Amino acid sequence: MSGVPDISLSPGVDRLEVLARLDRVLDPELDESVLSLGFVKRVDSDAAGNVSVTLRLPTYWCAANFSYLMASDVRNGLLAVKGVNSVTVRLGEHFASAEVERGASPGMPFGEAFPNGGPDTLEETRRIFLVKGYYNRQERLMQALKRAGLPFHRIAGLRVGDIPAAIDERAVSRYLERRNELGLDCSEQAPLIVDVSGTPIPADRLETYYVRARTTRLAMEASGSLCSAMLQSRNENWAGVEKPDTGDWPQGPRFPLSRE
Amino acid sequence: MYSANGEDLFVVDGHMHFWDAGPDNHKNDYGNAWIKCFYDYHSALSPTDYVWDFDKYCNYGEEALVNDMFIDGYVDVAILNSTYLYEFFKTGFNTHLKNNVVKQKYPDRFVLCGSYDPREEEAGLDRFREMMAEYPIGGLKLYTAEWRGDSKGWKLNDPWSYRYLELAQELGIKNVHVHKGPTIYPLSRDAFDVNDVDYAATDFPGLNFIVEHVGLPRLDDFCWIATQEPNVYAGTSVAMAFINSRPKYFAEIMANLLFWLGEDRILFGSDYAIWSPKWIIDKFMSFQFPDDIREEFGMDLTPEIRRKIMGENAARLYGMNIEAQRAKLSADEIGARLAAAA
Repeated sequence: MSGVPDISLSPGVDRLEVLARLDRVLDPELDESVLSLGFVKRVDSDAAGNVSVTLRLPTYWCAANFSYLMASDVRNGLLAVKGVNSVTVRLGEHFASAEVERGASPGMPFGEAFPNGGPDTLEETRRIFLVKGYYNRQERLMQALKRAGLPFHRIAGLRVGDIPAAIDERAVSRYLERRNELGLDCSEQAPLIVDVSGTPIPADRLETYYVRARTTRLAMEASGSLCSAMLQSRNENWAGVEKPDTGDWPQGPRFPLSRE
Repeated sequence: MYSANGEDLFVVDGHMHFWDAGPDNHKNDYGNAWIKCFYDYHSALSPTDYVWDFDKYCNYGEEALVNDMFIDGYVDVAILNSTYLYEFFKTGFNTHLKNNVVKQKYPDRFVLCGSYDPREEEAGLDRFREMMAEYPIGGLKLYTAEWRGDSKGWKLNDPWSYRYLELAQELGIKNVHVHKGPTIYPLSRDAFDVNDVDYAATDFPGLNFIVEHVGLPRLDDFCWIATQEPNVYAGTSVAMAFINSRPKYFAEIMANLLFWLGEDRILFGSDYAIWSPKWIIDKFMSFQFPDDIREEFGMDLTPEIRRKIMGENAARLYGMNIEAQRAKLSADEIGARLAAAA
């Protein structure tokens, strides 16, 4: 599996900064970094700081909206790197590569790149998955607290400043990072387990709440695992045999049930 | 039939295909990209011994299907989930017209699914009636995520879709399989939406909605809906295939389905030829939840639960009397081959 991207940058562009920026770009559905998922295949830049990034997604059919979000986030992330002048994102073999490349690189809103493809912007989609990711991260934290021997009624009473030192630091920082992104109070005095509106979960409801979060966490985790397996197969099955685009693509895919 | 420890299990494969995706049938590059993606699913999760070469995978033919499903694969009855894709494949991917060829040969072995697209509106209603009259349609298979012209998908609760569901019910349909699964379709807006099932299931309490692939990657949304709607069922193809390379996730998905839906609303599906039923069933029948899952959920995969998931639940939905069905199956050509081999 080629998880590490091929990187070839001009001297003015810092490799570590590029990697750090890419690491912050998430697959919204999976709540994982595109870098750790192995979706970034190549990064190049020319002497003038024009950067080209090639993403390889697990399937040719990865949904347009998620692909667009990732491509846009890669572009915006790398534009903030010193010495970068422009960013072009390529998807290679992907059903919507032309639309995504044409739209995401100059920073077009989704609705302009996909005039018949749904919403004008993807902000609502992004929000839905930020929230799912919040439950995902919160469940992992609750799981760690449970494993540390804390019963639900104790967990319900914790404040942000009370997290036991034995709890996995990554679980804590990922949770607080997302909590902060959603604009929720992260101060030491704030209750630790709150819903997305910031309301603390009462002790007698925490188990039910946890059981739901557990299912959301599983959905994201299992899907991430499936995507990684798919990407690995895609890389292995078609390495070196990927056909160039022959141009034999209809204007837009259509799926009529009856032949006309 | 799966037999072990003196027990015979009735096996219904709730989700399988008989496709032709060979180069001769490709209408354009989308056909090629489609089957390559399917092949990646196949090779990503199959045990090494069960990975086919790509040529066979494109067009495996009837003999392989009969062997993989019924002779080697333990399956008693298989539900043909028809898929059309006329824009990618000249004669379609696995339409009810093509699937009907094997259905005619082995009528008791297959349930043939038909379909509708509400965007065909009034004209489509007539075509739907014709399909129901001319073919032995036992259930429906729907793809809400299909593009059509400028449309990027439809919802089960669209007014035209309700017209089709009403008609289907009038014509005796009980079971509707809805593809709500991993991304295969070039869709954008509805990629993650299983909510339309909620509306349709409430408004059509006489129909059963089998959500194929349990909505993965939207397993959570699926579970909330299924908890509310007693006529929503879990079609477990794709989830089942995790059992080999990702047993921990398989266990957790199963435990969640049992927790939210209970043992009477979960249906086995292989998604053949993406995966072969034999290895999935072999593994499933000896699978135990790991200790942490058993402890956390307080449940086990009992023989009774396995029996229900493997076939009894689907048989109930399709009104099959298992003993009567077995008698019919032992009398057909495949039954004779199985008896000769025993």
